[in-house]
Amino acid sequence: MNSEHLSEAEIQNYALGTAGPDQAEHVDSCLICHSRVTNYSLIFSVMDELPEPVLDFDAAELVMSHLPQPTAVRGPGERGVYLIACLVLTLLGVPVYLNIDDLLKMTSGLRPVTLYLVGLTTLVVLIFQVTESCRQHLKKINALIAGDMQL
Amino acid sequence: MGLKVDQYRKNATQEKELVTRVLTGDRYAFAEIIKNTERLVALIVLKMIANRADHKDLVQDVYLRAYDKLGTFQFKSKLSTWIGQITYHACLHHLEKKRLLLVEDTFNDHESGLSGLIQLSDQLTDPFSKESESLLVGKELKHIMQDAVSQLPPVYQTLLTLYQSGMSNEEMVQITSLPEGTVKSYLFRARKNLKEIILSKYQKEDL
Repeated sequence: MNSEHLSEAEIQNYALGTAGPDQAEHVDSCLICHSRVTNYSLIFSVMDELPEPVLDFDAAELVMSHLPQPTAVRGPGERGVYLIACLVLTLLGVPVYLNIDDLLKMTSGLRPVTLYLVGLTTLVVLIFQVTESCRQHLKKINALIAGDMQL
Repeated sequence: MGLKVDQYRKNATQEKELVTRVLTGDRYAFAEIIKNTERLVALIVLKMIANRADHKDLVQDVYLRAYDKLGTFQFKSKLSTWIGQITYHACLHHLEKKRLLLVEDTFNDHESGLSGLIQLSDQLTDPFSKESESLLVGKELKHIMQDAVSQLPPVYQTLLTLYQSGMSNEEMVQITSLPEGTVKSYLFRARKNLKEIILSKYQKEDL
């Protein structure tokens, strides 16, 4: 049996359950070391029961509001939308212009002004639809990137 | 043992998925990372920094740094350990700044940056004094313990709390970037000082 008192480190290890058999034998027979072990055991058991420190605010909410915003996809933009519209008009307008005589023959019963109004209305509606579709498309793409949409 | 390895692999896969999602633009994946690591960040910040007014700024700073540097994380440790490391060093930097302003360093320690933070620990009484070998046994032991822990230097409080939360020595070494021997030594001194704080103040109640 080891008659020398245990060192402070050995006492701690014993209280933590990592001591060797020689130390255990000494503690069982030495009142002083037994008392020292009891002190540490009590400290460790009370520490186990202490509540864990927790933040008194929502960390996710705090941090997310300060994260850098993602850069939006740069689509063609307003100018690009009108360019596309003009291109469509050109593609539709050129065949009409080249075949105007045939078209007029087809619509010979109609007065020119009526024809003009129908054509103009059709074109305006077409331009509006194309522009609006492009805007909606860009909006959805940007929302997807920002993670706001659920797929 | 096999179950533990499987759980570890599952956690590692989940972490990898979350990090990949954040790096490809899913900011809400980062909110999940915050929720998964908040406990460890709280343990470190609340134990290292006594001033409550500084907690919000520090937590925000830690996570913004983590977000900024997430692309450099190489999965050599757990994500929580990596964020814990950022947290610990942010707190250390915060404390060192304040110490430089308020307190002159009088204690030389080979661990640079910690010199003023642990000097208080070496000024306590001999544990073998005659009347101090037994502790108070009473109803308010938890309160006494909390009070005693709060008197320890910040690094000691943090290491003790991390140990009590179940963290391994290896993880504590990764978080603090201290050698394993130093972590063990600080834990030993923290427990010793805790006992001496309590013994120096209280005596056993007669039951």
